[in-house]
Amino acid sequence: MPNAPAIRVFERRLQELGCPAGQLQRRVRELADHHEDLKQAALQEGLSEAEAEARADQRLGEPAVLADRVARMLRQSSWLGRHRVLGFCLLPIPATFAGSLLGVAVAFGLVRVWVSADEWAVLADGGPGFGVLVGASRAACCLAIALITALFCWLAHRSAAGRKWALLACACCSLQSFFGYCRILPHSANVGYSSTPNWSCALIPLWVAAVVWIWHLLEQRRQQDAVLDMPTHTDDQGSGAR
Amino acid sequence: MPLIVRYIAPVMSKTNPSFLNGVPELLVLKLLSRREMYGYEIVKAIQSQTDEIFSFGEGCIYPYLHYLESEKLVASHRKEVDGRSRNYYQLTARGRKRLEALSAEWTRVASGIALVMGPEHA
Repeated sequence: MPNAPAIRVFERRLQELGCPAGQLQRRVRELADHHEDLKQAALQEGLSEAEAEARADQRLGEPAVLADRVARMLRQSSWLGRHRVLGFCLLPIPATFAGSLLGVAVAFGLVRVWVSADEWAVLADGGPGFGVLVGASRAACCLAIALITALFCWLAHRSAAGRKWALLACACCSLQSFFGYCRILPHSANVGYSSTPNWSCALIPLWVAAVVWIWHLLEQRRQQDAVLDMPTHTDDQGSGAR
Repeated sequence: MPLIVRYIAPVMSKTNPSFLNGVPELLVLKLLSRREMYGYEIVKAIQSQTDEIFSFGEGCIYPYLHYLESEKLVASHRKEVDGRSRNYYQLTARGRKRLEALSAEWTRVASGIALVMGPEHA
C-alpha cells in the first residue's frame, strides 16, 4: 500500500534525491505493489495484519537504501547524470557565453529584418533609434542567460542529478555573467569578458535559482499529495490497463 | 544468502568486472524471454527455480530492472490482471540478442570451469 511507512520513507528519500515527478510516482507505485504482494503472501500464511506488514517491510529491504539505488540508477542512465561536474559546473560557462552571443546576434538580426537598409545605416552610425537597438541587444543577452540557466536546471531535474547540481549550474552561469559583458557601440558589438563586475547579468541566474528552489518545494508538496492519492489495489479494480 | 545483490552494483557501474557480473542479467533476461513478468514474480521465480541458491533482497530487483530498461534490454508497461494493476516487464529485441550473447558466454565459461574442476564436480 502506498501509505505503508516503508513506502513513505522510500518516497521521501527519492524526493530528497531529486527524482523527477513522473519517475518518482512510477517507482513508488511499483514498490508499493511489491509490498502489497509480500503482505498478501504473509496474510495467506496465517500471519496477522501487523505481522504481515512487518514481514513485508523486512523482505523489501531498507527503503532509504533502495531509494539511493533507484536514484543512482536514474542518474547513471543519462550522460549528464554520469558526468555531473562536467555537465553542471563546466559546461554552463561556455554555454552561457555562447547563449549571450547568440542572443545579441538574434536581436541584431530581428532589427535588421524589421528596418530598411537606409534605416539600418542610420542605426549603425548611432543615429535615432540606436538606443532601442542597444536596449534590445542587452535584453536579448539577459534573456539568453536566463534561458541557458533554466535549461541547465531542467537538465539537472531530468537527469535526477538533484537540486544541488541545479543550483551549482546557476552559480556557474552567474559567475560567467559576472565577468561577461555586452557592449554595443556604433559600428561594433562586443561580447566578452571584463574585470569590471556585471552585477545586473550576474543576478539573472541567481533569480532563476530562487525560482527553481521555490518550484522544487512546490513540486515536493505536489508529489506528496499525488502519492497519497495513488489508488490502492482495490481502487484499481475497474480502471483500464495503462 | 542473497548472492545476487552483492553483484548488482558492479554490473550497474560498468566497472570492476567480477566473476558473477553477468549472472543476474542472464537470469532476469532468461525469465523474461519466457513471458512478461512483474518484479515480485521475477524475484519469486528466481528463488524457486534456483532452489533459493540465488535470492534477491526483494526491493533490489527494481534498480536492476530499471538499469535493464535504461539499456533498452527490457520494456515495461502497466497492466491490470485479476484486479491488480502492476508494472510488467518484457524482453525487447535488443534484450533477446543480449540474452543470446550472455547464454553463449555462460556456456563457454561453465564448460571451461567444468574441465578444470573435473568429473566429480560435474
